[in-house]
Amino acid sequence: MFGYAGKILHVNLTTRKTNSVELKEEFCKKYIGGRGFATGLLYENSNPNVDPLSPENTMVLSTGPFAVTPMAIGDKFAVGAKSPLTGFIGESLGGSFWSRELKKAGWDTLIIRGRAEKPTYMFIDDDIVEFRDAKSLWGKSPWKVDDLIREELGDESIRVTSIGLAGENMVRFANITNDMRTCGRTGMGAVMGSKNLKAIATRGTKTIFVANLDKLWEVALEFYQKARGPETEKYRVVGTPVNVLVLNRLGILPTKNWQQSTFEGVETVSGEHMLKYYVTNITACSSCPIACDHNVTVKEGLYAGTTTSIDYESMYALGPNCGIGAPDPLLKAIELCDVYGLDTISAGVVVGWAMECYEKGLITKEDTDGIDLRFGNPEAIIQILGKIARREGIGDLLAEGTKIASERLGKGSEHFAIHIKGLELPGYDIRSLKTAALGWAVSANGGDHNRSGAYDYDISGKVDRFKVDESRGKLAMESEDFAAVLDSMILCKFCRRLFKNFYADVAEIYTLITGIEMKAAKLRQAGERITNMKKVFNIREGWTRANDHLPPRVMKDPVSDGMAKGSLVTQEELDFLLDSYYKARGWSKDGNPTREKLVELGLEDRAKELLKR
Amino acid sequence: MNQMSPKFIVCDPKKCVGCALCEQACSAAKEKCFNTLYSRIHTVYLDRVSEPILSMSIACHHCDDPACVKVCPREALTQDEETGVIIVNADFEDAHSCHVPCGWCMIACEFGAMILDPKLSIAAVCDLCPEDHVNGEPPCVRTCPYDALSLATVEEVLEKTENETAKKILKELAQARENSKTFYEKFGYIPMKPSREKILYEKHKIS
Repeated sequence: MFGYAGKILHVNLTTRKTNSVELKEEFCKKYIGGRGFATGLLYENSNPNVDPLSPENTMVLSTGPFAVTPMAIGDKFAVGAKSPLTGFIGESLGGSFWSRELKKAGWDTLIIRGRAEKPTYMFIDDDIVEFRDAKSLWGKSPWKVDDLIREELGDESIRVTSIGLAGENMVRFANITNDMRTCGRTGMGAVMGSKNLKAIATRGTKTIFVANLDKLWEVALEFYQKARGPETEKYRVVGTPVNVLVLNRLGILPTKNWQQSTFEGVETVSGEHMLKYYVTNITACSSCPIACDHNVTVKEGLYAGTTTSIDYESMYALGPNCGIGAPDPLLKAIELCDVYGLDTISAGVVVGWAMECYEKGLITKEDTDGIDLRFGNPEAIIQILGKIARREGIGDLLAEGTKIASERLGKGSEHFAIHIKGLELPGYDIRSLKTAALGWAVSANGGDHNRSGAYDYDISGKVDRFKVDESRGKLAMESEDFAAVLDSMILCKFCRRLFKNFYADVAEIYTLITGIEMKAAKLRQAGERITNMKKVFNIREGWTRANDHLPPRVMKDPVSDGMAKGSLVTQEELDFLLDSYYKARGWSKDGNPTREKLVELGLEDRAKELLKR
Repeated sequence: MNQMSPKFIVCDPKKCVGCALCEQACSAAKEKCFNTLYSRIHTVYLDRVSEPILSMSIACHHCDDPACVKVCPREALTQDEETGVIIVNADFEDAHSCHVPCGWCMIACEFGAMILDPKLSIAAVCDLCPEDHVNGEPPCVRTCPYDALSLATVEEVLEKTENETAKKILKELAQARENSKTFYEKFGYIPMKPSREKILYEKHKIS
């Protein structure tokens, strides 16, 4: 088999049994790899209605066909499991060398079930899977764990993916860290923690062959040229934090838990400011011609020595969204999230929510153990992140994520809980981005900008971002399927603008690598199939139309300032948008995939199961 | 530096971002496959260099009086007088062939440039791919998206780079060719080490 490693590794942590299953070409064509594999295999290998943090939950880690080839562009891998935040499917992607080693060890995909009796880490050394004691690693940060495992196993070339303190304590938005890149969203770190699995170390010595090496190199070299061109300049020069000023100008930079859409202290947390005073160097994930990772260091003052890497979403969530305009504590907060293994977006939004509760008197200083949890208090955010990771005092409530925390606290705090399906929203104020509002409302993951990039249409001005119309359903659908194909190959989102005819070009590269015939239309359909399968998974978990919702604040509180002042998404608009989306998808008015649609996508078995319900 | 170094694959550490695409290119050029174990060039992380430089790629330096040649117990390695390329005698019939993978050359090489070919079980090293040049550029050089690599003398690369730290590293590199053992002591590189932020982190000594 070209391109793919050709095998799936099943691991049961309870019984410590492993099983190798051969990858079928039919399955590859259907689900491509990466997130497609994660979706397809998760459905087949899990039971409905299990507690996400119980041993019954299944976790799938998968590389794609492009990994370990020159078209890997970051060598990403996808993680999928039932999300502890949403109770629906949760998927997240992370870059860098770990997936390269996994695939070289001979595995495309890793399926993990059960729960280890005591803290354990796995070492996948080609065909050998070892379960090793992780007692000495427990409580340590992913940065430290990397080192300790390499030291213990005596090989510097071993790659590690691990969880931090937050994952161990099953903080519902804990992430998985590998080579300092993270699978951030949907709380995959908590699932790993619930399995007592601290880390997975991999070392591979096997070889990946491709179908047409010479042509592939030609295509790749041409692609690298494009990747150094104007389309990626944004990511290479200032990095994604360039968005801070842009979105502020457009009035879509959510501030102080979405009470405002512009931030008065925006200059000092802008990407330009960071580049001038804090960025020390720019690095790349494995096999990447773009290099977007802006490493920063605080050189002096109270937080001197703080070292982390920055991107827009982290800056938004822990900066403007918590009212923090001082760069030093903001960078410290981002670093702490890295050290504890917390998703910066969810962490920032849940802290923002707690700050609003505090200012409204729903949480008192007594509840916070004396922390003055006002917006913009740098001390407070640094202290509260530690409490969340340790699940200490009020941190125990916040560790449940915005949805559960607001339901538990009550007192009207649900009104300003900024989440969709339980997943906290990224930094685009969707009250004036109507296509994005639809894209996120219907996303199977919840509020996740990586699974639906519908904001691209709004911000680029292709559509009127303040209005709704019939076309939005189709746009949201296209954006979702497009992301599904990118995430399955796996190609980094940052090269999404580098293809002239995306589906045709990528299908050609797919054929060059795997030797499997692929055409643009088939690839587009694969994207549609993967999105439909996610929906099928969610329906099995009890999804109804009411779950495609928006946060109450987005629908009730109009934007208070900036260019988009007065904007909101009304119930009528949302209903209209949902109808247009379900119609574009060929689904029923309730949002259920129809039998015909599933049969058309080659999912007859799934259709039968759905009808039985 | 007494004289100009010969031409070999020189990396400008200021431009290198640590993506390791050169390793992929090398493995594809040499073995028509993707497995960095076959790669004759390695992306290494320099953990004793002050910011802002973290990584660089290192291949054979075509040393004057190379340690690998001196140390080989079977006298299987020779150096091409003109280009400085290390030639591995792979003729198994010959008494002086690289036959038993003893690994002495790998230990002797200061730059980690000698590899063990996993398939043939003999030593292998960068030969500058003389048969595979396009516009004078071997595969790794033309692959690097960051223009960090060039087939040049150290002096030529030194002239082009403006960064002081990069200059210092390159100067040491040239020195080390003549007297290996100084480079590692000064900069301490760790082959294949990932975790860039971690290295930054340690530099600033925070727990």
